[in-house]
Amino acid sequence: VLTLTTVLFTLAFVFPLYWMFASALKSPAEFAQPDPTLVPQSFHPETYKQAGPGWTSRTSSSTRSTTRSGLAGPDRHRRGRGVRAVELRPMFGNVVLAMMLASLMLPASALLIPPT
Amino acid sequence: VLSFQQDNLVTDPVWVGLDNYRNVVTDPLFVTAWVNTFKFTGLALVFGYAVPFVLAVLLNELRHFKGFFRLAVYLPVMLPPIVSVLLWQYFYDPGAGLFNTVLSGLHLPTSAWTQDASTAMISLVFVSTWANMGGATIIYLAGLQNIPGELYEAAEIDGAGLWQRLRHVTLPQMRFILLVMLLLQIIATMQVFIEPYQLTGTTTPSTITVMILVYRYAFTVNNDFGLAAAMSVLLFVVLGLFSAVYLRITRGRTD
Repeated sequence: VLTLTTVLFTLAFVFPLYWMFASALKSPAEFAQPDPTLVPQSFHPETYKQAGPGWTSRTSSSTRSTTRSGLAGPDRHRRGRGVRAVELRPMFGNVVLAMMLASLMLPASALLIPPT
Repeated sequence: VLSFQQDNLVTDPVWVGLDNYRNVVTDPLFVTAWVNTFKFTGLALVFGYAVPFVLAVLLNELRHFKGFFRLAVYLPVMLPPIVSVLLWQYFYDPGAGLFNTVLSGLHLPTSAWTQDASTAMISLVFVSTWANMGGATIIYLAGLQNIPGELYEAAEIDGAGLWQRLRHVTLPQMRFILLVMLLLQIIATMQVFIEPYQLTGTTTPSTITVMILVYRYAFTVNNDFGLAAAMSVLLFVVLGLFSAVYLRITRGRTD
């Protein structure tokens, strides 16, 4: 059972990631050929080098700052509000909770308020 | 306010009252989008709600390689959603895709996957489940590990088997987490966008969801943010009503 579970888990969760990693090492011609290869016929690690400048440029910087502000700001406040709501049981607590829950129901794209 | 206006972000907005709502409701794709969204949500719950719980129970029972299994199940969550979808887009490719290559190699019938109306929706559900089940599994696992071991010991002394322990100890102890996760998953799956957008596009009737319709109104067909806002408000209202009813029904069970 353990062997079967290990094989199934590896196939379902690890193999697709291996495929992504291996495909990044293939040449464009090998990647596009009709019969996919499990192991790259020739290794092309330069793909990572080519992706490097993008990783260290403004894109990477904006990702870092978004992550930093996400960790430091809204999430901390959200947790704080949740703890206070549970511990203090304030008046209209259910209304506040419902309003917080309502923000989940807004599609993310609807939060992109158009600039005027 | 935007849902009561005609606004393309270029010219001045025009107040149109309830016209946007009328236009949205009378759109031939309106019913299709809702049916597809409910279909996706239903299928995503069958796979994305039940499978992570079963996996968590299984992982909780394992004695060996615990770290490997927990890491493996959470790995897909670390990929950005669009990367997961692009990876699966390659797997699903009817020509040189990995799935059809493997099926051909085994002399089994191949499929058009996302390009066939009958298999497109389930194909989207597989991607979504694979990409997101790690988070739910870890939450269930944390809940399972908080169940006092004495309860299981008492059940075993009373002669309870595996199924009876699951039914009379695990499920009642996990009830609150299960109910909250169900609500959050329904809210999240009804807002599905990336999977149909990337895998089947915005024009395939069998996979047009409510969010795809919102996108079409805003960016492709109508270029009218007022229409898109009206559709978003309808989705918000439906989810809000569902949540209110759900919380009222389940209140007694979670107190």
